[in-house]
Amino acid sequence: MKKSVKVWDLFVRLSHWLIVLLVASAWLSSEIGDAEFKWHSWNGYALFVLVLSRLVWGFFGSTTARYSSFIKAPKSAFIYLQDMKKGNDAEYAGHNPAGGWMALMLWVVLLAQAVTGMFSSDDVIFDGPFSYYVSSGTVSTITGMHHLLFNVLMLLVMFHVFAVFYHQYVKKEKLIEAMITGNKTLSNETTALKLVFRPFYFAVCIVGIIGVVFWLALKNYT
Amino acid sequence: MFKTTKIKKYTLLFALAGAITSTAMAADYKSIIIHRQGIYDVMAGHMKVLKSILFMGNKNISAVNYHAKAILEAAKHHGNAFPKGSDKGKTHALPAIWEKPEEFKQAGQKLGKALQEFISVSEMADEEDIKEMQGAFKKVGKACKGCHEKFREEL
Repeated sequence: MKKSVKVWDLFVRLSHWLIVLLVASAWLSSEIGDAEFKWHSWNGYALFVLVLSRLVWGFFGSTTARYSSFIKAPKSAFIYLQDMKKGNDAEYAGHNPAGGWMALMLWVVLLAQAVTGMFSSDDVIFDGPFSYYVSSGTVSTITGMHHLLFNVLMLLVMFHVFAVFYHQYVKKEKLIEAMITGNKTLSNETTALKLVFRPFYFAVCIVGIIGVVFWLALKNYT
Repeated sequence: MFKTTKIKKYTLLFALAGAITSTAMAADYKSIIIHRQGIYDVMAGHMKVLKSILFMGNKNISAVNYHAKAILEAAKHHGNAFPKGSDKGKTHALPAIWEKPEEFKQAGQKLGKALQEFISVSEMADEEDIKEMQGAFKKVGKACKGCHEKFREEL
């Protein structure tokens, strides 16, 4: 018998879709935005705070949000993928072993993208807030990295979306709905797993603390 | 047998001559590339100073006009900075500069126009005119970036 159970907490879902929106608008604002990159900068700061908070949530958040629940040995990710090819459908309340690594890679690249952006320059109007701390040669190297990392990010996003679509439409697991409503339809054995949820305001506090510290750093050191 | 060696010898000589000429030519253009990159550094320096005044609160408002004029003076070198052949060597200049000379020229004229406007706006300017100067400065920046997008190699 299958049962609908809550698997994703509100912060996981909200941060996921906010990241989607912010990545889209970061791309748009760099292509067709204002010449000074004002919008792109604020966009990057928001991503930085949000992704960092999500990374912290990986230690203190709800069960399915924690690294301890979804970061498995890299080998098990390959075993999972091989099993899937054979048609063995293992069921996971949260991330599957491959998906967990994908999520972590996405966050790390996003964070790196936000940080390199703060040291980048367009050689004309825009200088990242921390670019004054390093030499101009370093700035152009980091700017190059910022451009390269965007391509890496797009590659990861493509794989991520492809994998989700595969689960959604080929394997008929409603992953997209789960990321919206928080509920997944699972068999009894998996639902028996005790999931612990941390309150949303706890996540808001993490975002708040990181946000304020970052804002103070921007204000006083740039 | 003898003949092939002779041909080989000539080929070698020819290749050597080619290598020497092209290296010599690249060396010829080295001064041009260094010069134009220096000019861009000059412009970038003025842009940096202007940014500190117009956006970061530096009080040297009376200097804005000087820096605007200095950029225009530097930008005038554009016309002679990209002779045919100076695409060789350590440069970020894209082939489009030589493939679409008309478009490149227009991009340069756009900068010239934006700079003229900036100069006239900053003439005898004081703190009250800062908004207007910021607007004119942004137009200059847009002209720079418009050209970079099409004619400069991405970092």
